[in-house]
Amino acid sequence: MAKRAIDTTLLAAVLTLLGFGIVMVFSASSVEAAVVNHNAYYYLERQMIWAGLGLFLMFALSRIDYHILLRYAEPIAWGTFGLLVLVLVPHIGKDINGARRWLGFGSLLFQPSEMAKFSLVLLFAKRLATERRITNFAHGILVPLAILGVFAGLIIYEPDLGTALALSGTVMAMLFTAGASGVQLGAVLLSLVPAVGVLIAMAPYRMRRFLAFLDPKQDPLGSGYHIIQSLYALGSGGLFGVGLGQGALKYFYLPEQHTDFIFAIIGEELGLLGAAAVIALFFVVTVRGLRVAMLAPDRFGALLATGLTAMIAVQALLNIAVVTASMPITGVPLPLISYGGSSLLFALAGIGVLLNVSRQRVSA
Amino acid sequence: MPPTSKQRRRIFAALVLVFIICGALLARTAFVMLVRGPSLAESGRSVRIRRVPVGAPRGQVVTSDGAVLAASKTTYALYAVPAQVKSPPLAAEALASVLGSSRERLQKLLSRRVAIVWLTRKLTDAQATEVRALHLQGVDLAPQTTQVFPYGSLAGATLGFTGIDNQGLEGLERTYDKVLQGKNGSIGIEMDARNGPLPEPRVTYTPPTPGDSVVLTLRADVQRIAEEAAATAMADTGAKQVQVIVMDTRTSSILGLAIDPSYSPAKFGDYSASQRRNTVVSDVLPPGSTFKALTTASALAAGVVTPQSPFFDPGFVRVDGIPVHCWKAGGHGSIDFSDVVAKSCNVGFVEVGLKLGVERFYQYLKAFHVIGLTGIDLPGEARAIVPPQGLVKPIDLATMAFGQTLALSPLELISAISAIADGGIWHTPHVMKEIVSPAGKVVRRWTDNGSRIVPEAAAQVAVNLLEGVVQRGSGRPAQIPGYQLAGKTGTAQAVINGRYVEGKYISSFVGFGPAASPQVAMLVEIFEPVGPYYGGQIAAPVVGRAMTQVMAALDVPSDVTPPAPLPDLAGQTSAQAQKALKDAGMRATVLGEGQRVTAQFPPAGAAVTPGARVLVYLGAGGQVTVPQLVGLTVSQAALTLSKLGLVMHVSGDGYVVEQEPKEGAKLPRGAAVAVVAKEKTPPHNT
Repeated sequence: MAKRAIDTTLLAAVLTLLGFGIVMVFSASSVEAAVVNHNAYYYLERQMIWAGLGLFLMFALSRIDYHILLRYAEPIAWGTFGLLVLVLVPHIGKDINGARRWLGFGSLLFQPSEMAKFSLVLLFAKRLATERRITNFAHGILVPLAILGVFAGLIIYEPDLGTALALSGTVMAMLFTAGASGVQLGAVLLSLVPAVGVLIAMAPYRMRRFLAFLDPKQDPLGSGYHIIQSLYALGSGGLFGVGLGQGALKYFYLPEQHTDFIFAIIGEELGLLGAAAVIALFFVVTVRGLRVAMLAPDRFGALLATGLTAMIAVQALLNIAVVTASMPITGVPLPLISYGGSSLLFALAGIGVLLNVSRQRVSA
Repeated sequence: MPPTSKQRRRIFAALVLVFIICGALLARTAFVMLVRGPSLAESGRSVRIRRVPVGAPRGQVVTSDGAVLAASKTTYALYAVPAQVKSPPLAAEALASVLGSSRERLQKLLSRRVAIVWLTRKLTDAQATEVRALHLQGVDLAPQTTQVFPYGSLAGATLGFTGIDNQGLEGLERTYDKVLQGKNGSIGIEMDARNGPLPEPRVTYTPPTPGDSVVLTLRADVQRIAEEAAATAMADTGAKQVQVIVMDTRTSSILGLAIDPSYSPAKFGDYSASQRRNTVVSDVLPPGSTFKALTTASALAAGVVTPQSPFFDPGFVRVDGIPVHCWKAGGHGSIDFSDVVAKSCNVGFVEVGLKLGVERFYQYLKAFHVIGLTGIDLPGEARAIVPPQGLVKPIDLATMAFGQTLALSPLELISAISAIADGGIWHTPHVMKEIVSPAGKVVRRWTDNGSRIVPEAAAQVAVNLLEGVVQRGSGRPAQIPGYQLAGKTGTAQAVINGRYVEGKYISSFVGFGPAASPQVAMLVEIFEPVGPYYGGQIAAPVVGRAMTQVMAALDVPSDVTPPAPLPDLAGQTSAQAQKALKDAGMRATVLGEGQRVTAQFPPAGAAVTPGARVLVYLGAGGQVTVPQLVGLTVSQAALTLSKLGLVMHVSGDGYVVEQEPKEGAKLPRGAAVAVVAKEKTPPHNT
């Protein structure tokens, strides 16, 4: 198999997003960090450490043949399953704001659900590449969805609907690419609509978020507050933004300003130009990632690259849709940009693997 | 095993889907940021701005003759927006020397993590100028207002007062609170969600809008006359309270309103609530005989009496078997209605009331706004106490007709009197003349076209009858030179806790003038005077004295035309003399035959009332024979001499006992005859 250079366009887009993200995390978090953590650089420092670890992992994985990785797909999936169960155990899983999503000590926290996305992409790439009866409903749809259901169910139980949604979207993209029956996939997606409806209706906070999405002004200081402040931030930006670091919404108005809602701060401070640049960069990552998939030497590589690209793309689109009030609030970080160690680590790990696939492409 | 072409197609399809979604999200982002952007940004900013109110200067209260009774004084308060202060220690040091306060304290204030700190209030003008000259960033002055009363307690009861937050609590400050208060401004500072200021916050200053001013119908000069009259009456009578109201009868606007003891609005906290009451408006009292003015007008309007209607007063009258006595023991005997009014005969009014009947009596009580409110623009107007119409027995009607059994506020009384004086037109009493914006534009004017409640003829007759009260009745002590006044006296037993109290009185007089064309009405109420207590004795002279001053202050032309000196007509032709007299407003009677005027009577230079008849003698027949005057009365002698064109110089009174020259002497016309009168009885003809 020919050894070629990695996809430098992809790498450049990823590094641009990463660097831009670190700057924006600092701008968005410094006010809160200074007041709450008595250190304006609190989040910046941590994000840079995670970025360093992530870059190291990325370069390492870009040099390890992905076929070796695929050998360990099942053990990695089992390990992830174990961690997802563990995080739900009281006193072991860390409870923050009513959600049990984290493992770890002090400020060194790890999110098994972020790992789950990476693990399932590996697992499904391996299974679907060798699945001959992919168009059969039982083998092509039912079994994969059962496996997805177990993982997504555990994540929803944390609760973390957003990550479960991103995970499901990624797996769907892989099933589609693997050649599952379009009719069957479509039917499944249609049947998911009432399922999501039930999930929304089951949890009062999801119901409130859904209603707030329909009309945020109904409860501007309660359930509508978050999305209203997000829109204030974007609206204040205009075409060119108020200037880097000059935003007002990060002064305790916009919650999650450096994590799930960092896109609003980007819009406020850098304007539509900044926001459009972010969307464009994610599109470049998607184009290059799917190009890698199409040029992959085998089905393993193609499915792996599709899954890893989808992992980034689905999450980015979900995040931007939420921040611009195009869908109800689901807590999904903006990959490569939002503050968050696990998210950043596994996003970069995925890019590393993707780069390795690109190295083994069959032609230019 | 390489990917199938189907798989490649599907990857491409996924890319197309992502492209579409990216495009849609980009469009959505652009829509939110550019199309909805400006309004979202504005809403977001307004949510972040905290506003510190800046009090608006209250509008002035000005009398119609330009005296500023209440005004807003602007002082400056110094505030800082700590987030804007570059160096708190330097700013504190600069300010400390100007303000003369501790540098440490200022520095501490300037370093606080709050939106705004007030450093000091009520700066002197010099301090304000110095602070401005420092040009300190983040330190600024905000105007603040306090109310001042340049005329002290003048018109205090009408003015009322404002509370510490500049809200009107009493008097016209309360009625016109909305007008006077203006609109508060604000200092807006952009803040974070934890109430800390943003770094370099945008600070906006919205200046307050001053309140509009109220121009009163009150006149400072008339108000002062009323207050002095009240104070003097207090001192003279030893009363508990004296009220004086002066009203323009043509509009029912209040020109002066005095209550003694008075109170000072500037120190309203030093007075009890009862001392601050505008009792003229908010308390009712038995009107006594002053109410007969209303009964008179009502009875004339209803046509149940004329001035000549005969009455007989034996001293009392029985109603429902209960004897009602006239104030005059033994009664007034046989008199006509004009004397019933002039002499304030109770028995006469009992009869008038019974003739009028309950229904018509109540109809006029409503027309005069005794029942119901007058609608004055002052707070706390009291409702008259009147027995319910359905329960009124003849004895109640009989006593109400002369001012007992009911109670009304002095304001209601003078408003009704004003309607009678204005020819039967009711006007709503008021103190506001107009409302003027800070720019000096009149934004509202009191308008009231009036409504007829009594036919003009009846009102005119009522005025004539009330004029008789002052000319020849119980109100004579209210007579003043130069003006004919009309009015009515009143003496009521004081009511304490709902019962008439023996030995305690409310003496009153309500008058208006000039009777020929009324302009001003005045009501004086004297509560529980010590000593004499008849309204005619103690209240009427107060009205008389004060009215003289008010008429002068208002430049009301006298309705008694002053005499003018007669021109010298000697040597003129008959036509010339007649023309000269006509020009002077006199009538000429020409006697004798000749070319030229040889004599005139009265003589040249004599003061003569306009319209008087002047005798003009022509020709040589200038000599007359002096008649016998001894034995005639002085007036008979004067008449006799005047017919001959002779002037009489008289000393003494009664019957003439001596004359010089004697009977039969020849004198030229216009010459004088001196007489001495002495005897009270005609001398015997011997």
